[in-house]
Amino acid sequence: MAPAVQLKGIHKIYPGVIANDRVDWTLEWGQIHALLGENGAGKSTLMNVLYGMTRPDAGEIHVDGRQVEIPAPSAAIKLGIGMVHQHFQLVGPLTVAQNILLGCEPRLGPFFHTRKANQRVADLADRVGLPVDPTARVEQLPVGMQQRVEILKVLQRDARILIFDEPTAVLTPQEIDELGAVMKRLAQEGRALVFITHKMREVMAIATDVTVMRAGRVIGSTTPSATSAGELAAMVVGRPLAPVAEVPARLGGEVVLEIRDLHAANDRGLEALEGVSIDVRQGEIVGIIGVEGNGQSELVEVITGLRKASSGQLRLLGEGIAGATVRQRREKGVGHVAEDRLRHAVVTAYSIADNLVLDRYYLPPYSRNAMLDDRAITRNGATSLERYRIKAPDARTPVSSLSGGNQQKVVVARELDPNHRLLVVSQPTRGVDAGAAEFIHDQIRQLCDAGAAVLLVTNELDELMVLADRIGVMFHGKIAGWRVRGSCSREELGRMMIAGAGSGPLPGGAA
Amino acid sequence: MDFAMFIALLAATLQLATPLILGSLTGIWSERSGVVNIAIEGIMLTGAFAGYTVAEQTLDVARWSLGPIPGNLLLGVLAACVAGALLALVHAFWSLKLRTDQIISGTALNILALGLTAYLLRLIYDVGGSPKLPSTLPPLFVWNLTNSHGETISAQFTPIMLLSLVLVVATHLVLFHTPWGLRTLAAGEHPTTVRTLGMSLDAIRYTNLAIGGAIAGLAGAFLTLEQVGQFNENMTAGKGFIALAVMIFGRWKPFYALAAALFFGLADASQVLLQTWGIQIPAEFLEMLPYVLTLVALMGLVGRTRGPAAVGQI
Amino acid sequence: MSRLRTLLNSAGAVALALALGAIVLALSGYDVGDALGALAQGAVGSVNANAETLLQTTPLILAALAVAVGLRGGLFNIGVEGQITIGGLFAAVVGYQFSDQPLGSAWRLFHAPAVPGIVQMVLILAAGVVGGMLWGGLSGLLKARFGAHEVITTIMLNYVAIGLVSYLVRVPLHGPGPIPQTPFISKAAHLPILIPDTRLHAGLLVALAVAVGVWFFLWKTPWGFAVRTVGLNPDAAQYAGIGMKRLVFGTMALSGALAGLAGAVQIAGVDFGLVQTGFSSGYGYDAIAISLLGLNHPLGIVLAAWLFAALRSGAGEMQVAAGVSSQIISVLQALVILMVSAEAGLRYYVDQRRKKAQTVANRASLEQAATVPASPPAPHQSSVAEPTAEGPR
Repeated sequence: MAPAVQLKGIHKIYPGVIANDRVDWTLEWGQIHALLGENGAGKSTLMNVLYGMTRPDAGEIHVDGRQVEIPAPSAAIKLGIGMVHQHFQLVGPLTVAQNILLGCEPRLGPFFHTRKANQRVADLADRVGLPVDPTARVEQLPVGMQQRVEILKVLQRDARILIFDEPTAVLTPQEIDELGAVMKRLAQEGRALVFITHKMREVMAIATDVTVMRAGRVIGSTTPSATSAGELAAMVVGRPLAPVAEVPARLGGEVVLEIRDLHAANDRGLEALEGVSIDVRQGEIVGIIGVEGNGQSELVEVITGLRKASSGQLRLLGEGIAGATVRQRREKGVGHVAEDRLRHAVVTAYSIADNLVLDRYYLPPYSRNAMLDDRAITRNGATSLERYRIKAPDARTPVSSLSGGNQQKVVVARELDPNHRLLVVSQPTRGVDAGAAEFIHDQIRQLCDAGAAVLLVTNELDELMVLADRIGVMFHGKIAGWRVRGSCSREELGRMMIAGAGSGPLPGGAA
Repeated sequence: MDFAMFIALLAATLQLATPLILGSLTGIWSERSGVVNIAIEGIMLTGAFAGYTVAEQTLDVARWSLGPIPGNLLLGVLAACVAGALLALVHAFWSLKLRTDQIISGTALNILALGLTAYLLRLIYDVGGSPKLPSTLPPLFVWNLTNSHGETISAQFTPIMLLSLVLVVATHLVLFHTPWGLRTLAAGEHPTTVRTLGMSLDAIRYTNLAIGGAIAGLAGAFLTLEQVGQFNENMTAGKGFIALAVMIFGRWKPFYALAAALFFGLADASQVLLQTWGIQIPAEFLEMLPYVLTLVALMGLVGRTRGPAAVGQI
Repeated sequence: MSRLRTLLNSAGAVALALALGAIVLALSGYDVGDALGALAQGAVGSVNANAETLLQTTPLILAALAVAVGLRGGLFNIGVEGQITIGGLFAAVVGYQFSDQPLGSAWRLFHAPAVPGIVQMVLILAAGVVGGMLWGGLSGLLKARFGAHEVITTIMLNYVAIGLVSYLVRVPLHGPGPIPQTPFISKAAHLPILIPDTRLHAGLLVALAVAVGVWFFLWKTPWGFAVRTVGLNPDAAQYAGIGMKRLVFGTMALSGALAGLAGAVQIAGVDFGLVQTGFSSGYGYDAIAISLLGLNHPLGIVLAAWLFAALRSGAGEMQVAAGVSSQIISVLQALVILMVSAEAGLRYYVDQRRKKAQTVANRASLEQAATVPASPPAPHQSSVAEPTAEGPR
């Protein structure tokens, strides 16, 4: 039997970067093939080529033995290729059935046949064993259920080749297990599956085959049974990773941030924080983890002043700051590495130097006598450029021309100011390559050693396990429980994330 | 106020509201598919001019008629719709293909329409202005009522006025109950979904903008061919902008927009009412009333409403 | 280099718009040469023509600066027309209090002492600034407090301003004589004439000084930095601690103040009293086109304002000498906006193509030079950069 997909010499150039460098790659029927690599390695570009979202500059695509052109997603769909996107391609206000049948709607005369649509979706869900409520509005479903709608949308179009783009990024460990089981069943029925990931663990657990990409090239293909996670990691990064030093969990000093019974609403007016209490002490890193949407983002926003608390107490070094503005909090020594870098943390049209004073441009030495001092601003930029090893010609380079890792270094350089007493860090290494991530972790540790208190909010268990001294798990707007690093397993944390269970003793938690 | 007066006021209200109803539908069609359209004013004005000019120029040619409607007027209405659709497509091309900020493109088209119609008016009809058409669109039915003083009051229901109500219903049905409508909503809420499903985002948006443009053109035809019978410089006088406000009040929903438009129409029509009640208010203040009401309402209920999520995104 | 390129591109867009305008004229059956000749004659053909053009340039500079300050702060102020009108109203009302002529039935707000003309001038201009600031600030307040979109509120306030002025001038501010207009300001308060025997007044110098001031404010002061930050990325501004509500209000108030000054300059330099309708005669709308054409930069605005003023003052001559309706000027202005914005879009595609070609070339030279297999290039984000549009989102 001909392979499901054969890519030959796929070449794709984006302005300034070669995303795919003459890539050859084969996918067989019945495989669950992991495409492994760092951000920017070219995995997504390759799959976008296969799905017709991107036209390659050169190369051939063969599907089921025939050479084909895939100029648009519609061509891919006709060839039986489906894609489950990392950022769900769902229309929130529409129902599950409307989303799944968008583009191939059942009709009653000129109208959308709602009854038939619901029936068809219910039948499909039954057949493939992924139950959903066809009449529910998608925006009201939990994330795991939304992903199920994405998968059903693809299966509805009779896809035999399924592409999963970072499918586990937003799932809990238990949801990941479930997804793994679903993927295995789909493969056993003879379909071919690809999934893009940068997590070794999932490759080892789910994949039958794995291909590693780096800097636009295929580094090699193998099977998980023939290799180890460590070996794969070395292939991904291109060098062996230094083993993580075992630093004992620290005991903090005086309380810097004190949160008591904090309540706040989310953008839709629903209660997102339902009584959170946390203490963060000088010289310690407190980690917060949870499934996306359990209130972590809102917690960060309330602490940094971007969102109003509806009730509860918020004290910085004993002083109430619940009513303070963002600027007042920053002046009191609160730093904030925001979750969404491009949206919040940088102005891409500004230079590196200007971005580095985004929060302090009005203070001396950057402003004097109601005038900006460009020289002082540029000098400050040049210093940081060197200290944080930001790769750019000079401090006047616009941030838009930097890579993601270097953009994040600009943010870190600004927010990890030695004068900051509290640092709130959200997803500090998202979309950042491994080298920059390591560097950023080091900087956070150094700042903490110098006496700052750090609150780290992340979705990456691995990041938490190397950085945090104490770990709080958020569930439904509350801290479900506390663990000290080194005395808890990933599985235990995973259980707490999904069930909020295991809230036994609270070592070091808020009194 | 007796029943006859009430019906007469209702008819007057509907008449004043018609351009607002149609204009707000234009806004709904384009914004629901994800394109901001502040060129409604200019499109309306263009439709008014094209409709009038064609009707006037074909006066001697199109001597036939369709039922009670003279042929030249029918041609005029069609021309208004076509002109409106074309101008809307220019807006679509500039904002979707040339990536111009949609508000800037809309502003440019408003200025263009204002200048071009005035220029062409002078060019074609010279300083005398546009001659009045011998007839305007005749009412489809007339309701004769007797008021408490025994006088006969007739409420007239003209074609485009009634058509605007039909279009409200049609827009609602198409947007919320047909496959095309679902795709339109998807384009306005989450455009990449449309692309990943292999459908053409551009096809959806261009089509919706053209439909919306034709409706605004119809609103223009209402002004010249149904109400006034001639074209005056800048005769839309801001109705396209109020229609935009109506759309927002109506929360991007046809029936709510209808209600909002009727409310504005009533504010307009009540000028007459206030005079019959002997209340003296300077004319300028009555003219300002819809605008002030818009501002007041923006402070209250509407400030926090949410439009289609992806409006303005290419 | 890139500034020169944008300037040339803008010039090209203007040339294209004028060419399209010429085609419109030709299609209309006019002699294009005659028409454009008359246009040029009226715009720059004599000392007086030049003075008239500069006279028109003055309010256009100020009004366009008002638009630019808004756009730099991410706010689209379509309400400049109304703010000019209210500025003119305030300026006229304050100004005529000092008049030694009978006021007719117009309100006397206070009994003004006899003060030198220069003091009156300053008071008149200040009154205009206050009026515009109030009107612009009102839109800012509605946005900051209620989230009402400034495009809608400023449009609404334009109509309210025009209605309000129309009533006030017709009734309580009606000066002596049958024409509905306010009493005139005193002769001593007229802005001095720059070129004898023309109408060109010192308002031009005020406008140029304000242009420099706006440039300094936007690029050399911390407040300007805050305004530009909000305009480029409001989320980042909020995150960095910039108080959004105050800034939105402040930007609209400043924008309105500049527009109000334009109105006051017209009162003190040209009109000397406020008429019932048509005081601003579309300056507010021209200002949008001028600001866009001038890339929202004071220098660009001064040049673009002169161009538009030349078109305006040439249009009269064109109407008289060649019989072309002066409305063609609006068409030209719209075409200029469309061409300038289309040019930005086209440049995006050209840039994409050029960068790509560059990458291919780099790659080829790299491979030629390498005798050993070249190490793969450093990983980058493989996302395509969005164009960084200046102006509103």
